[in-house]
Amino acid sequence: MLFIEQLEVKAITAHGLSIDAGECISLSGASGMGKSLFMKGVADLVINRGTLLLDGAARSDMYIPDWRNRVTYVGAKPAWWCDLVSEHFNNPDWLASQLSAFDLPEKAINWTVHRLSSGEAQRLALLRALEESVEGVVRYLLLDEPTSALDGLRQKQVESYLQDLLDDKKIAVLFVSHDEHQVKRFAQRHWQVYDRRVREVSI
Amino acid sequence: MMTIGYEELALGSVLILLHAGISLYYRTGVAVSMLVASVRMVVQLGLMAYVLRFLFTSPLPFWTLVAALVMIGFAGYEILSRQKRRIGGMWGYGIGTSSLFAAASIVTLFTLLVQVKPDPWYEARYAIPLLGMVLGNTMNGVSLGLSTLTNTLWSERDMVEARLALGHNKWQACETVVRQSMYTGMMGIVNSMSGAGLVFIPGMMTGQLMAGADPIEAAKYQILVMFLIAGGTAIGTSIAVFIGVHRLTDKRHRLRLDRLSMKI
Repeated sequence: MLFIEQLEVKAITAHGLSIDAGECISLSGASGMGKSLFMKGVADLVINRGTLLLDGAARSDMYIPDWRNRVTYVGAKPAWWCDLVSEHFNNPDWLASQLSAFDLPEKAINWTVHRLSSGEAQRLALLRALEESVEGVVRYLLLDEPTSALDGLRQKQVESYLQDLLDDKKIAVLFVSHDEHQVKRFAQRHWQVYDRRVREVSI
Repeated sequence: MMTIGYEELALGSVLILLHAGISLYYRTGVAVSMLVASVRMVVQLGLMAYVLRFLFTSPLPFWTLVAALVMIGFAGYEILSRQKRRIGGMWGYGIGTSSLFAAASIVTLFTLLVQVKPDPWYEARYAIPLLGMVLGNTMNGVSLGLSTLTNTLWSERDMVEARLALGHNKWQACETVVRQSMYTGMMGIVNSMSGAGLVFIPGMMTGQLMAGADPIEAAKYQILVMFLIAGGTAIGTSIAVFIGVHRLTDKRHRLRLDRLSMKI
């Protein structure tokens, strides 16, 4: 379980929020209210203060790259640092086996990142974040508008891919989406940033 | 050696004045900085000549040390003033100056003590020109390396942050940026070494040749100097880029671009 006992990121605060393996939670709030900032704060990518626990272990005691391996933020704008898609993956065979679930051809491994459409980039970036999963270790994914560049059909493909992992309790998801239908369809619980506070709400 | 009169020097500046006239007419905006730089160059070299004359006759090595420190101090300031995005506080000046200090003193001391071996080893006639050559080139490398680092970290922040988010540590996340900064910092000296003797005769060798030195001896000196400035640039640029990354990230492996300030 990921427990946010207390968190302050700039002016945004959160108290007593938790997310467990297999849970899918939406994070909503008006644009510019700090949804991304809050997620980055949980992943410790930006300056923040607070007490966060992962299965009872305090974040402050952990080596931060290890924390981020388990509490992984996937930004809204996918970014690349090599020329080829495959160079961003440690295990290209694994990638090849996953591509069909996202309606991507197997040869996408050898594409250069410059030719990726925003939708292709978004799905590949999501796969990249899922790659290092270790058997028996729950990953907490903080997804910032993970399907914003996808059409309805491909949105549902991504959701069902994640749903399988959720059903197996391999991951937990906190995601930002401006699509009300997706929020209702995909999330069981809802968090909202309102008046500089993140709290649990019911829709 | 042929001596140059002041009339000939004045004649040499005609071309610059001509260029200044043209760029004033076309408002390219270079005219003023060009003129300022020309005047600075004349004044600085003139002063340097008098200082050197004093140092060559002074028996006290203390003054040589003072001159060396002043040169390093100015070089550090020049590095800082080339940066569009500066690392805030004392670090901004400290990074350039400390990496120059380390690189220049290692290389110059090594040369004086092991290679050229003048008697005494701190003889100003050798120490100051050597230090100057090493400093000038290291300064270029460090300022290019540092500005590539800060500008690229700024423009590629999403990429660095994406790598950090995936659990890469700060050195892995900055790896491509570090590589590019080192490459840019070293490009000048690599070009100099590749072109030397084919495309141009390096400045120091030119001076020696015109002063009547044997070409073989002049070439040997130039080779030695090229190695020194390449070594100095490599050491200085590495230290500066290393400290730069250290300062622009923190213990919790976060990117700290808030420590950068824009040049106003």
